[in-house]
Amino acid sequence: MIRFDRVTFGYGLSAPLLRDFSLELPSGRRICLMAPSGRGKTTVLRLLLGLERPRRGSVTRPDGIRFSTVFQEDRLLPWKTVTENAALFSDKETACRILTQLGLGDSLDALPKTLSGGMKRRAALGRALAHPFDALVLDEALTGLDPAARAQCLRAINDAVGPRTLVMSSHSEDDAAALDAQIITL
Amino acid sequence: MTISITVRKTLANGAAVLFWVVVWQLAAMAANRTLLLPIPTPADTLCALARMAVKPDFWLTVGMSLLRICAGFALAFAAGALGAAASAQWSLFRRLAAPPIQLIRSIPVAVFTIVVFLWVSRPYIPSVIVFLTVLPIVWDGVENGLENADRQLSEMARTFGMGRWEILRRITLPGIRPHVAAAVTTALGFAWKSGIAAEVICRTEGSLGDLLWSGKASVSYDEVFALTVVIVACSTLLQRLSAIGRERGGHDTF
Repeated sequence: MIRFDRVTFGYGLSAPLLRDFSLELPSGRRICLMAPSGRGKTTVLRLLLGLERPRRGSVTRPDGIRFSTVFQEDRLLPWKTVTENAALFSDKETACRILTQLGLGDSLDALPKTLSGGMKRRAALGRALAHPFDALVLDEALTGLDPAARAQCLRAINDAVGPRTLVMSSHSEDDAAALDAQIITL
Repeated sequence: MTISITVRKTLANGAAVLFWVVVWQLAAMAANRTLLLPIPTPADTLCALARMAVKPDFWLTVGMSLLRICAGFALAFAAGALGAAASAQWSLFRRLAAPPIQLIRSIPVAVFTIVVFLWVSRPYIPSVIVFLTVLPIVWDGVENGLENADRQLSEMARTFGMGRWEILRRITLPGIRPHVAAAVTTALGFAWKSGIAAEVICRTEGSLGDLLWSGKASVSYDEVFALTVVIVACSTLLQRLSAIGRERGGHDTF
């Protein structure tokens, strides 16, 4: 169980972005955070991943939980190929299989700088799906993808998550519906 | 295809060198007609080099200069990299280290050599001078690299459960590599210049600098030119070796 207990958080000395935010997320649940930009979706995900500490309240996660993440930015290592990036936290075989499933079969040996924006998103998603995880965290992971690539990615996410936990942020209710994720509005 | 490009590149570089050798020859011929003191031609320089090269002591001298300069360089690289890493980590250390590094960066080699001469025995002075010349270059390079390192990449690796040392080895170090490589190339050039200058100023026994001094004192300018050729060759060789090492190492091995 992942639990946000009356969490208050703000960056630096600025006014709190989240006030007394609480959320209980039993293992295996799928949720999608929805809100206009700047309302704290990414912040909730960063708190969940332990990248930020709440000013007040607490975030508890199961001991030893393994996260896989796609950030808003692609965060690919520029000196590594697509396959090497995807296999950074897993094995090459799994990485290649998932990248091919995501439609990057022809770009396995390409460097990130040679890829289009959409291809970079898929490479970052491939890295996250190839890693053995307990919870998948997606921060607007499908932004900038064309409809065909989006559908391909949604299928791959669905297959990879299976009975595990999914926490995502998105502006698309269709994406949430395709992944059977409960919408939580901030 | 690759071979032909390499061969073409080598030929082009060789042609450029040849062009300047011809310019040197013509300039020497023109000057020798008008000036009192002859300027050695490329052929004179080659003859002087051949004369010196057959003496076993000469190569020992080259080796000793090389050793002194490389020792100073290696120590400066280690100290500069560690210092910059500490500086990037702790702001108090950065503040404390900034004035001495700025001081070292600003003081000319000649001043350093004279000051160091008071406390360090003569054979070690070139290494100390090389150390002081290279230290701020490496320090700046590594510090720059760490400042510009993509923190988002380290953060990403952390969320995937990668350990601190592995992040350092697989993400941070390869990320700062281009900055460090540029600093090493610059520092190698400066190491040679400052090391030989220090050898000349303090007349280190059994050194290329001392031979340069003797050549100047005995008005054997062909020998001075030949020694300069050797110094340039050694410096170029070291820079080439460092470039080859970087290419072979790839991006993952630092």
